[in-house]
Amino acid sequence: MRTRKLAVSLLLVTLLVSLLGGCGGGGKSTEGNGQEASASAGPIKLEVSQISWGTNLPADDFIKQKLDSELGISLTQTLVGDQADYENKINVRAASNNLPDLFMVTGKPHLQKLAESGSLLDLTSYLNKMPDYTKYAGDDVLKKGIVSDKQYALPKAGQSVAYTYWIRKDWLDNLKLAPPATVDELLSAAKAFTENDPDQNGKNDTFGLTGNNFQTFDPIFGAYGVTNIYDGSQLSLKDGKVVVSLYEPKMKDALAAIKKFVDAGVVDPEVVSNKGTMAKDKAFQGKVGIINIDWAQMVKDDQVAVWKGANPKAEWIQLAPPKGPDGTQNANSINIGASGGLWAIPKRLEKEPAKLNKILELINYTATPEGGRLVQFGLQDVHHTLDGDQVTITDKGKAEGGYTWLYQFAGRQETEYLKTKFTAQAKSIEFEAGLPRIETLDGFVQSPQGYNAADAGRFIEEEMIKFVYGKNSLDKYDQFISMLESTFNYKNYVDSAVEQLNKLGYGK
Amino acid sequence: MEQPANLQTQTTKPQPKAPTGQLRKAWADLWKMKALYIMLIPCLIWYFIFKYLPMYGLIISFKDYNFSEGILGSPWAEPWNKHFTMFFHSPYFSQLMTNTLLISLYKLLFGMFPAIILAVMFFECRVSWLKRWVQTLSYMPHFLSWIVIYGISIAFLSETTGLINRWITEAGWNAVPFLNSTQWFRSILVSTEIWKDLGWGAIIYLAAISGIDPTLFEAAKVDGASRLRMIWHITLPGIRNVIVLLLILRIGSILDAGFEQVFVFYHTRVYEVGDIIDTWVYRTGLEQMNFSLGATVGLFKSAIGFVLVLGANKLAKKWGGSIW
Repeated sequence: MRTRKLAVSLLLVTLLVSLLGGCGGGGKSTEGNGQEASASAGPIKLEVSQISWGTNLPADDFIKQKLDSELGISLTQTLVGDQADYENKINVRAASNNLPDLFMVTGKPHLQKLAESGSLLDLTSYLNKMPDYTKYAGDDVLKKGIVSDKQYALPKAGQSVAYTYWIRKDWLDNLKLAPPATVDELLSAAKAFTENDPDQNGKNDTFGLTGNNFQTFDPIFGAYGVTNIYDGSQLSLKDGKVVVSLYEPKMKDALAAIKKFVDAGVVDPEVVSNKGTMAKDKAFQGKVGIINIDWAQMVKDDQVAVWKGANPKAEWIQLAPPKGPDGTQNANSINIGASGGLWAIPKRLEKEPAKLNKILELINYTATPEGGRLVQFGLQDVHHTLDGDQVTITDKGKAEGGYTWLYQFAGRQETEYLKTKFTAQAKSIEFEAGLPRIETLDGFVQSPQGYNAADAGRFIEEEMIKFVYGKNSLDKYDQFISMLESTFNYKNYVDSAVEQLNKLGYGK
Repeated sequence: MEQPANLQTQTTKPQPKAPTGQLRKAWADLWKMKALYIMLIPCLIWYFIFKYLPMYGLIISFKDYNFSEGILGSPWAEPWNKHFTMFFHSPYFSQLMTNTLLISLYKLLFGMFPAIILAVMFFECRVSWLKRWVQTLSYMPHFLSWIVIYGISIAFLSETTGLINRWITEAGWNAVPFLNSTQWFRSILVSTEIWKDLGWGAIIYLAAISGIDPTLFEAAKVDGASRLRMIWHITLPGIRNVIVLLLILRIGSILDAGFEQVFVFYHTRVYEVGDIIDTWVYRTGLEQMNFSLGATVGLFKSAIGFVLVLGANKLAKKWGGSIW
């Protein structure tokens, strides 16, 4: 027995040695490749990596060809379909010190982690090489890429500003109601939608209001001048000071107002468990008459086809956010610290200045008027025509331009871009972009040590649900706050957040 | 196979003298059985690469892991048990443990007996085409992903759009929040799991039953035993060892309550009864790139599982059914 074991372990040792040998060899060969690439003459090879959300580059990639010839580069994109896969891929490549030359970071925590690990190049001293980009983005945007006072990422400019309540116009007409303008009117409309058979099918099978979890109630929070409870919408500026939405006295009023909706039985009972497109599906199938959603999910042609298909008489219209008791109104808040995308450059490029310069040049080029038009609307006179400043997209541009956003490294001026690209929906886009909104600052903040955002987030959400569903009385709100501060270290987080924001020039 | 070989060596060479002699002897043994060892090699390699090598990564549970510095280069955690205390001191720790254990135990209990009963029923079924069809249908769901099963559950059980709730409301009752309430959540988890894996679980018992010596049944029949008697005195005792074996193996993974399933099914309103260790690790560890914490909890779970398997085996030994 023992001798046999010995033999087996001998075998294993031999195996192990050969395995290790294999690994070592592999590592060396990839390194060799990298050096070769940078040393070779001709166009400089650049690799860009980002999340594509399923968009593919066409075989005849006219933007790449134009960029290559314009800048003397050979640009390849490594695209990954969804966020989780993408993060895994980047983390693996970071671990093997093989990051792409320019790559997207998925959010502030990801950026923070990568920066702390020393994988990223501090770009502070390189910003002056990109005059067009810095002007295009502006200081507020550039701040989003700062970690510990260093510019570790180049944020994309432009932020889509969307979302408001949409309501079934035909249901309002059936019940002879006017579009609700205040929170109280919204409640009575939702009540009528639930109880008075708005679709006139003789069945009690409709609800007033749906959405995904507390996001459903965003405009109601807004009517009381506070922001939603989630991580990402808790910090904002008020009278020049940083305020925390959970600490606001009006928060209780907002919760009481939401409780009224829940008590009246007009809210989709599955509002907390709706996932993915479930809420939207219910609205499109004619089960619910009011939903907090954005124009892109409602009036893009393919979406209209879905709800018109379910019910040809259906008609959805936008509502201005309902007014609170003192006339305040706000649609969903916008996290101005969150970026539409953060571009990072690996530290190793410090030693490859030729490559680095080309990347900076590339980003800067997409921020110039000429480069910007190319990556937004395609080739001039092929995909769009230019008349003064007015861009008109040709039919060819409409057919082939679906992927060009993958090259918008500097971002875009969102509303203008969308109106040009979706002329038919321009009115809805403008309406949502023009609504009053509270700007939140959470995106600028890094979690301090010892604060477990996941535990605290869960606690806040659970307790809020208890308040709204009447499992806990709102009189106990202060107890909730003190529990949050002591057990979950929230006080620590808030103090650190205010300090960080003051440092960035907010609330001082 | 080993026994006779050992006996032989002892009779022919009672006292091996030098270590060189021993080594030669081992080599001779190895050579004699070379075909078997060669067949064993792929399996050993697999175990080595996928089960033993990764264990080295466990040291990150004592480090502040940082991927640009790698596993060895990352600094040691200060104090060494930092990640363990973070897990144990989470305000939700006791709730997570309770949920994990309860869900896992329910699944173990309610999943095992129906599978055994189903296997016995398949064995007793005398209409072979019926048996074939039912068996195939019963293990089909095993191949569905949890996402698909969640979709099916929504279609049947949803409070607003589900088929069953439509029947309930049309009969004049109030809709039941099957997927939405703390009272129902665990039952839904357990029952969907049973639905998914019942037929699959029965296969192994059925195989064990088929291995029972048929002469036992014949002898019992001659003695006039009824079918129920035969099940009770022959079939069930015949598969007792397999039942114990599977029980011991499953007890080892009792802290795995089924991440995939819970993750798909749960939401804020049922965290209280549905949040398990693995989902917490997902939210706290992986979503925030705190890989050390994930490794720590994995180590903790394995240690508990290891102790439980040893204990269960010891207990089983008393009834003569241990696995080693």
